[in-house]
Amino acid sequence: MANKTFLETLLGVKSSGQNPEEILEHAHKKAEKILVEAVSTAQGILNQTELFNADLKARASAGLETAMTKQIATLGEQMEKNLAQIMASFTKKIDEELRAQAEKLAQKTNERFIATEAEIELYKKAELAKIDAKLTQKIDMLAQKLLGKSIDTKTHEKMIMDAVEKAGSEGFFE
Amino acid sequence: MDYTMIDEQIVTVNEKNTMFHNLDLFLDGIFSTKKGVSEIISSNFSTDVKNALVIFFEKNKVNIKNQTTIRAAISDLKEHLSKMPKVAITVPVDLNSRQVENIAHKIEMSAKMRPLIELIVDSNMLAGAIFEYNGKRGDYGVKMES
Repeated sequence: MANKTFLETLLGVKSSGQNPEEILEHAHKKAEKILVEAVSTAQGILNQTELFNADLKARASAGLETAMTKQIATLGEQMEKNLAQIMASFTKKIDEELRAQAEKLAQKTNERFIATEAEIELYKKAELAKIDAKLTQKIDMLAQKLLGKSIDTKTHEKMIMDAVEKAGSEGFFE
Repeated sequence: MDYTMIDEQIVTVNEKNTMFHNLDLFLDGIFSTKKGVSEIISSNFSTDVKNALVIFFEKNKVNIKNQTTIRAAISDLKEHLSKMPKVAITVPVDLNSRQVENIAHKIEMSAKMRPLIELIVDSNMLAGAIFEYNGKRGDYGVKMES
């Protein structure tokens, strides 16, 4: 083995005893064969790679699509959930606000009612007082008329003279 | 001067005012016409006042033929009437002259002064009287509360 030349090793032929042209031709054929095989192998690899790439692409695309679909679905679910939460929160807030407004309204109505009642009471009292005053005045006038008529001129004169006497005795004219 | 007869005739403020007016007319008559004093007195005054004036002139020995003397006497009389104390009396009913005179007399007896009465009728009063004299007010009446 140690005695084989590079060409012999490469070509699998004995270089000794053959002419260089044969050797070159042989080498050339061998090289050609190797190249063909290499090209073929490379082509195969290339084909396989392309197939792999296509498959990978398809797989990736499918995976991506699935992931996206999933993500979209998840996002949709999440959005739906969020929307439901927002709606629930919003509805709750609206309910609370409505309740608060209704309570405020009820309170204000109650306060106004009490105030109006008080005003009516005051007005009633004032009107009653007016009626009382008018009634008293009428009664007074009536009593005065009746009483005034019931005192005759002589009695009036006597009472006036009594008044003069009393005033005199009290020193009014001094 | 003796004013007794005049004082007896003049009881109210209205009478005093009428007297003043008539005295002015009397003086005008004396100085503007040729009528006699008696005639002028007769045409300007009621019988009672006329008599009182005549007595006033007689008692005070006023020469009724002398215009200056008459003027002076009338002036004195007016001054006397102006100085008479005034008593306003508010009563529930109107009073006749006799009743007013009685009141004046009673006050005169009580206060030893002859007042001129100003009578005010207040129908809101029931009875009695309210007096106003010398800035004072004495309520001796019965009034309806209002």
